[in-house]
Amino acid sequence: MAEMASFALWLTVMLFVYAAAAFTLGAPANRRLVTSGQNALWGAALMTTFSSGVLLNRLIALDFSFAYVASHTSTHLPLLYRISAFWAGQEGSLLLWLWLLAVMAAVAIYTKPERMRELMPYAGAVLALTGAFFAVIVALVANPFDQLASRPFEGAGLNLLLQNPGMVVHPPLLFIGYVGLAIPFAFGMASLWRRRSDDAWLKASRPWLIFSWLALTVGIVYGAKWAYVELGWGGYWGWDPVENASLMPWLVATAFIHSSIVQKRLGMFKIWNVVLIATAFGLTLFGTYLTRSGVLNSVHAFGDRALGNYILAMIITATLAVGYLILSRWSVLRSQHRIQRLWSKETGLLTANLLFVTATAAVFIGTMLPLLSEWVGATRMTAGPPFFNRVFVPFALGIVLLAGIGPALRWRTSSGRHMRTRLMIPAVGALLIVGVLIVLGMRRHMALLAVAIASFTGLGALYEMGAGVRRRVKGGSSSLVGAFGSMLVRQNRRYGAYFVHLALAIMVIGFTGSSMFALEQDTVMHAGDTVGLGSYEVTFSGLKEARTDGVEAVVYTDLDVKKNGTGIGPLRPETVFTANSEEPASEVAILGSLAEDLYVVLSGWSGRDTAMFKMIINPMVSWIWIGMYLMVAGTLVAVGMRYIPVTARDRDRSHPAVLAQLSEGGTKE
Amino acid sequence: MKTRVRVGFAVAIILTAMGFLMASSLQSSSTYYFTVAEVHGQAKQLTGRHLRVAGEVQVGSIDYNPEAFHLDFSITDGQRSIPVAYKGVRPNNFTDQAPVIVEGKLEKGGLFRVDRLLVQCPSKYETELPDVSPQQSRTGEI
Repeated sequence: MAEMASFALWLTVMLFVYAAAAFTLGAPANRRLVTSGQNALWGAALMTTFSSGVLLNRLIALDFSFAYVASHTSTHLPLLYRISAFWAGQEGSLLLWLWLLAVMAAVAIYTKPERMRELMPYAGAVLALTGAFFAVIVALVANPFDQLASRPFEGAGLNLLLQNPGMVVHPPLLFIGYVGLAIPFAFGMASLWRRRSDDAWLKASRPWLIFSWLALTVGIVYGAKWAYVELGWGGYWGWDPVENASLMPWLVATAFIHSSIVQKRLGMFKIWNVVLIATAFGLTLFGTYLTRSGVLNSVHAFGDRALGNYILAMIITATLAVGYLILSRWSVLRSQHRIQRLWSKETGLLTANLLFVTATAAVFIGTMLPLLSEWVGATRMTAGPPFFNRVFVPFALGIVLLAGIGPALRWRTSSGRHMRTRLMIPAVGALLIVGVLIVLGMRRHMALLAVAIASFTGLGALYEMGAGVRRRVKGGSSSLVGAFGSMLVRQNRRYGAYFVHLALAIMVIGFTGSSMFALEQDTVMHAGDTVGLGSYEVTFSGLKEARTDGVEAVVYTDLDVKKNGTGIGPLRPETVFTANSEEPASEVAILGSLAEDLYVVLSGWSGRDTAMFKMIINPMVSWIWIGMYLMVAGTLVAVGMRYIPVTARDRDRSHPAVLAQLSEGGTKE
Repeated sequence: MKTRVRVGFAVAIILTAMGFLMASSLQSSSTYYFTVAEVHGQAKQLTGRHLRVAGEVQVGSIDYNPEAFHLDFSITDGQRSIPVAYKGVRPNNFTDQAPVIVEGKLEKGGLFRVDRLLVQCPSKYETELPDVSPQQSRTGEI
């Protein structure tokens, strides 16, 4: 079995190399060669599926003769976590990367839209080359099928912290996001290769781009949620190198989503767009390098220098190739148009892009600081949350502000009066909200600024949606709900974007509240004690113990919690002991509401009647998770509506907005 | 063209702002990062400075007083070690030999008083297998 699975990996390498060659030599004329390349991609997908299946099977069967299985599972591990052990370690997670890449590449090349017909082989070659690199790494350096000399009786087990649904979902989502960016990248490189200057590659790769972006977004936020709920330090983001490695591609991908709008609309920013998508994908590769090479000390990182060198080699090769392509095609990409007006939509999008990219650069420099400072010969330095917050937050707020101004800007024309009309209400609303907060006693400038900007953008999105619905109702459509529904379908991209920006505003308010106004307290309590924190009163009545199926022991307590005098139910923080791990794990107890979370950790005890607790009040944390759900909904609205039929009969052709769109060529924003 | 100049101006402003922000943040918010050996070697100069050190928890050095929220241990690189005092809750996976990163000030007597303690994320830390060690397995015969 192990030999077959390893052999399948080497076969994958050969299939990818063959595919790359067949695509390159066969395009554009030799149909048969190109098709055989396509088949080779399917073959690679098949082989990696087989290998992955073998690993999954051995994990579920708890076959400890495999080093990987023995390192990450143990006898009583539930089925769900035997599956998630697949990506718990170096070798398995790289195999997951490879499998996703192989499958996505095969599907992307197979489902070629008509407009990409010419470019498909070249995109296929790029994907095949990337796949070949990864397959070599897995087969040679990080093989999950290494066997042990003698089969141990028990495995090392999966750490308790990883045994929860969050860790089942978070890594695969991130990987889907990372690998998914390879498709737009490949399409972009193909377009460059063929010296094309149109936007076919943008249109063709958009579904993949949005899909990856969505996976990345949910992966990142869900990872933060998992950290918050499981790790017990009360926070959700530590600016750790591995966290940053996921944030940087996300920032660049978001920038790319926005600047590609300008290229599709006005044919501008062509060079910028190819550089951006190459950077986005490059950052995912770089992130892979950071987390696996041990080059940076992080609480998350692996530490395998040899593996790191392979990945670095891949990144350097790719950078050189991409650099060559861009520089040699420079003249083809020069746009016909120039920015005409400062207060136009294209300038707004350019500014937003600039903010995204400089923020990414700041995060990059902060993350790489230990290495960079050594290279320039200074004392090795490191940057922590204070650095990142200082540098990142202002630019992030600038981006949020632009998201609020954006809808009021128009293409190619100055928008002064237009802006005033459309932004007046959101601006006034934001000022009112801030005014209320000041009256209620809030004085921290940064918080007030953040709330002002977030409210402005959120209210702006709501206002635009409301105005659109109102116009439709006036134009004779059905009820409010019906009008809203039809706007969602007819103007799905615009409304989806409004939802996403509204979600962003909501999340920013969540970030502000939880990062600036948290209250924390470590206390020792004896049975019968009551401790106050904020508007809560927490009473401790002694520790209890429970045992489950002979494998676990749980020490817990039911804390009585009162808020403003009213009892709001028991809170149960726990400490869990398992036979498999030497160290106990804490189960955090959270009493969450829209306004704040009461967060309690049982940090220790001496005897049944004395225990130590860490208690935190985190204002508005749930806004972050709510924002995430809304962001997902908005994205689905933006891309999913093509599956709802809109007949010509329904189109309101007399509506001025529709007429304007039709006369401009019908490209929606 | 006037507009291009204005756009160029705006771009320059953004980049300069970021540059300033980064430079000042580097000055005020970055921390020197040393190995255990380096701290030993430069103990005199580093006393009183805010540092970050990475290493392992020395076997047998953990002394935790839960009621006082006081954690004492030694951080080591295998050869040399530094005594550490941390005020706070002992993290879950904090055990002997756990890879840790600590941040704080080196005091006159050589004690490293830390305000930040990070323990390496568990899944990426390969543990010893109960019966067979990995090195042995890869070269051993069936």
